Amino acid sequence: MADLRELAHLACKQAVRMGAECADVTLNRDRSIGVKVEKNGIHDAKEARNTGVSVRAIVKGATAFATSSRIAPEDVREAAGRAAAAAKLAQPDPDFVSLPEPSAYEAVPGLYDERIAQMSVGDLIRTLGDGIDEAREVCPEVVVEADAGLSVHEWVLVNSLGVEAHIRRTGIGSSYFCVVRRGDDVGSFYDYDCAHMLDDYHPEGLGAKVCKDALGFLGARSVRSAVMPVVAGPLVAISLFGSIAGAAGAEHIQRKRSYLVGKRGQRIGPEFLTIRDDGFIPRGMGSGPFDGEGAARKRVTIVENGVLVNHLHGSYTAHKAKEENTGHGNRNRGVSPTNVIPSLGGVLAAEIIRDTKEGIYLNMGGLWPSLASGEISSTVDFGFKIENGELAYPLKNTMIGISIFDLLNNLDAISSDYREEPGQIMPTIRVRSVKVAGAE
Amino acid sequence: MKELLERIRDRAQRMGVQFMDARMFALDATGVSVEDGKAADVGQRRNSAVGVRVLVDDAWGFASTDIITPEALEESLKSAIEMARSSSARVVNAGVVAKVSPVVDTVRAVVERDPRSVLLEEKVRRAADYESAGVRAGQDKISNSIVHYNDWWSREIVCNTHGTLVDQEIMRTMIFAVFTATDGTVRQRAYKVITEQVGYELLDRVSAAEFTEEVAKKVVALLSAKRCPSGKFPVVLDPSVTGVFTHEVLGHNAEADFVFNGTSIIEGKVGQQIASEHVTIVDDASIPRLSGSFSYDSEGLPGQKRTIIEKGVLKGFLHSLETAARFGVQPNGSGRAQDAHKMPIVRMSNTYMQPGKHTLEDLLKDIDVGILIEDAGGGYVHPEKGHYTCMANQGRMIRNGQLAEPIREITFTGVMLETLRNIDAVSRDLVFWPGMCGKGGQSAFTTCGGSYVRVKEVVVGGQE
Repeated sequence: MADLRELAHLACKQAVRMGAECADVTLNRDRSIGVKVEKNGIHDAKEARNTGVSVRAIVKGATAFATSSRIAPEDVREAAGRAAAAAKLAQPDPDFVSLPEPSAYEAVPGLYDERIAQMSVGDLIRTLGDGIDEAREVCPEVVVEADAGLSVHEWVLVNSLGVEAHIRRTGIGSSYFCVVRRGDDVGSFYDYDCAHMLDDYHPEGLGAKVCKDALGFLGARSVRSAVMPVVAGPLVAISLFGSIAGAAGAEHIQRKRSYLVGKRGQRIGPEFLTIRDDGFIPRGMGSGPFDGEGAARKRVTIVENGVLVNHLHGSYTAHKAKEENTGHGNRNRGVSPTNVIPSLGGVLAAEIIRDTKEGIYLNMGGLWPSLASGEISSTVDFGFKIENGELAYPLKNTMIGISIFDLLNNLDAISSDYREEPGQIMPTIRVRSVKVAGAE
Repeated sequence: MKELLERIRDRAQRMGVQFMDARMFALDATGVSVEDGKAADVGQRRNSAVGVRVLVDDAWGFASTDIITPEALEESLKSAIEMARSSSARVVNAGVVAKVSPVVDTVRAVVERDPRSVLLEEKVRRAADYESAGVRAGQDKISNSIVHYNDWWSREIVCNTHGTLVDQEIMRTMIFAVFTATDGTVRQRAYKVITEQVGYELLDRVSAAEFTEEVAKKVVALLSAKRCPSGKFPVVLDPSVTGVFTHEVLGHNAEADFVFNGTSIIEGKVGQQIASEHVTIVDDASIPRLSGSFSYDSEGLPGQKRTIIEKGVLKGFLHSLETAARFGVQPNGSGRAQDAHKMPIVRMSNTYMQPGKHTLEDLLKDIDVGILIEDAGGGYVHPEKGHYTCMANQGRMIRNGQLAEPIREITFTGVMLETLRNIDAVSRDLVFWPGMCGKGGQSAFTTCGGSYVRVKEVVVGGQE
């Protein structure tokens, strides 16, 4: 089997030989197995094998990519030639300074598990079969859709300044979606488990849990429009914090397309709110020693005690800002977070709900601020009305609307307990005053 | 290439499969990105792969490879069979395939100017010209400007044990502009995308005035639009929003795999009145030039027009070879795969609500307080419940039958069967809007379309 590093060096040298001022090359070799369940039985099982080369050539700051799914030496040389030729035709970018230079990487354990690489489709089928049986024990008339998959991924990056990055990752995961019908009434829910390492993968009980949750969504009603507190459960809260981290990416800031433009150094939330990005959490789903350009990752505190203190950088944005590269870049000049970790509070999630006389609980779905304006207008896809501190009934035809800054200023609780997935800490949060629109 | 696929098909037949198809998919794509005055990013992608799908012991197996050699395809076939055999003990609904006559055809992409013969410098220059024209039209309020140009040449060869051998090329060209405008603390974003199955002549035809200048004027106008109100309102959807609504709300529910799996709210309702009589919804893969069109789907079935709802009555679903067999109907060419690494699944093509008789003014005049919702931004649906959400970038309040103050960033929700029954007027316009649809981890080029449509009531989730 071809050595990916050798091929990457071959392509990189070719790109420079063909006129690139600098270049980087990535090569990947992936294998994945997936199994799909439809209507309580296996529908299909599949295996895919992918290879690919991507050459980025840079001339006067102009960037050109050429990719190919073929990775024989002649193919990677050909891609390099295409990239170099195209880079000469794009328009120069004087803001480009340099690709990342070599630096030491801090090792991140727990990203590759040979046991996963050796697993077979039969292992996935057994897991799914168990999950279907669990769900049907909870409710015999449930309809189960599910997926399980494993992947083995090898990736190499080499650049013309001497960076050489190589990583192998494994992944395993399963998800269940359960639907229960009672006449015209439908309850449904979805949940997942995923990991890099087999010891972190816990699909047992997931089918049963999702089925119970689906039953809980029967009898959905709408509400009367009002202003009330919203309690966001773990999956919703982490997606909110992740979107804030994304909006703090320097590419969005420098391009003036983020609601966080001009906010660095300013208070954007309560003093008890801190949001960190940590790409070194062992076994974390977003973890790794380097970013998409082979630059060493750094831990970054994005929001500290309510104040926006840092942006996330890649090499392009870091040079432009004359700041340190935090190792969050990709080869498209974009910037993205890794594992987003919010601060925790002192009160259990159950207590936050009990303390809420009337409100909305968001179980799953989004609080997705518009990147430009920061406005949030979200449907309560899976949520409950809170009445007298209890989850009273599931909701439909209900929406919430608020700006991100009003949301953060009204954030009055973060739970002490949390849902944990590898690399992710997901607490529950409460926002005390949100516009809720309903159909009643 | 065809001989390679035929050889592996014959091998599969000798191995006793119930059904098999082998698909080769090749892509040659070029992209240019201009941002903030610099066309500094270009990209060229070339890939090819083969996917082999088998039905063995009533179970489906699939394997794919980027290495297109007889040995690699033989390995893929063996792997696909092993996948199927491993699954068969836990199959509850035996895999089936509709019996169809074989199709043998070759379709070449026919365009006026093949983008592959247009120099890259020309594409860079043209994209840069569009961007600079837009920025000039933005009255110094444009804080970020992005224009993308992309062309895709794709070729899919489908070879199966029915005897089908279809070789189809498709050429698509796209221009996309997204501008952000800032005025003090107010920041807004607007965009426009044009994707058609044409060649580079698209750029000869589309002027900056109808593309980036329009986006710039739109985003600058949004800076002074008010925030969206919150509550229940009668609404008029513009054609783009009607299109997204039709695609998300009805289209996905009509995909027969969802219906069979018990995850569509319209299961069991064929022949029933599920919408008002004003509603006729069609999915048509045969409309020339639209980005969702195709001559053949990824199972070698002809692209065709399918009537899903006619005057409010559900007529049928979108079918693949498998779902057609399950429902005892003819397949209607809806089995599409993103590429060779994915199995075909039921997908839409160009889905639209047919026009009615009214003018926009007719739709507005009976509304005391409502919202005209314009410029679709996307949407999604939970098909098992029929709960949908649609997003739009702008709109106008309607007051006493007249268009009033502009508003921005409108999201609305509803329950599909309620909303379809609450459509009480449809205008006589018809506009199509290109997009990409995501389902089951696959993307597909689709188009959606419609007219101005009045809905008695939806829930709008604004901030005011």
